[in-house]
Amino acid sequence: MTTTLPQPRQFVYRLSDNLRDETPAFGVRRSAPSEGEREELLLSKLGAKGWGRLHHFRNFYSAGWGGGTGKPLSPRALETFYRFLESARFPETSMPSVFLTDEGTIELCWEDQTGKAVQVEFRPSDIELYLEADEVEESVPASEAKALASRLAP
Amino acid sequence: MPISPDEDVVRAILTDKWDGQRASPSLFKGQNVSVSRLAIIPLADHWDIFRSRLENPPERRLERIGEINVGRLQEIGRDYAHPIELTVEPKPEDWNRAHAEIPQNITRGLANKIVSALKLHKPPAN
Repeated sequence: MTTTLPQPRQFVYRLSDNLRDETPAFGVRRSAPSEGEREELLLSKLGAKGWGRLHHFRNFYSAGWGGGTGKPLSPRALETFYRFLESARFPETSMPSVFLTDEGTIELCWEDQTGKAVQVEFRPSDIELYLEADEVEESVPASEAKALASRLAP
Repeated sequence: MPISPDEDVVRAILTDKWDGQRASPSLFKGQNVSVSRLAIIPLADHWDIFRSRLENPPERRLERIGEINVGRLQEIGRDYAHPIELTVEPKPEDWNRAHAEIPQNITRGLANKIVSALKLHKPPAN
């Protein structure tokens, strides 16, 4: 006596055509850094004082701070600041100072290896730069934060 | 009418512009920077005036008062790479009758020179 096995089903699960994504994967995108990674970044680049000051600015300075016209820390300026920090290196003898401006932007100040001032202000769409050694005052687009950090590295 | 080069003016320096080591150049950057005249109100009285007006939020503390002579301020402006004639104009306010402003637009580089020339006063011991 012989029996026949049932025909195997070719497709157990079938994705409907409208859910298929035929777009080829062009690359892998790095996910945005977590809050914890950013805290680590701040601590490693600016020390406990810089980390604490940024925390202070983010949590206590709401619109109208100071005499009534102070603006809260700009989220876009903060993003640019983090991108800069990822690639930034500072002279071992000059830990940068971090300040909040009345416009809600972030200012980073340190001295180069000859003791001359280096100042960078992170604004929502650009970065203002001052180099005392060359008497240079200029601004670059926020998208060039990493390139600027490399340029200023000792 | 601009105030005399002989006068001395002060600027409040609070937590956001002072980290215990450096003062922020943005203290003097931009237009209409506020200062206060020591010829009208003595330094000792400025501590209470600045505290009551500017310590907002309460975590923002008056850390230093920066003092500069008006003539010295003008000299720094004239000697800068891009010379500028700075003036200080009286602009009394309800909360501070000694209030004055520097109307010219001060760049970051020039502000850096001015901040470096400030005489910094610590809060008086209680």
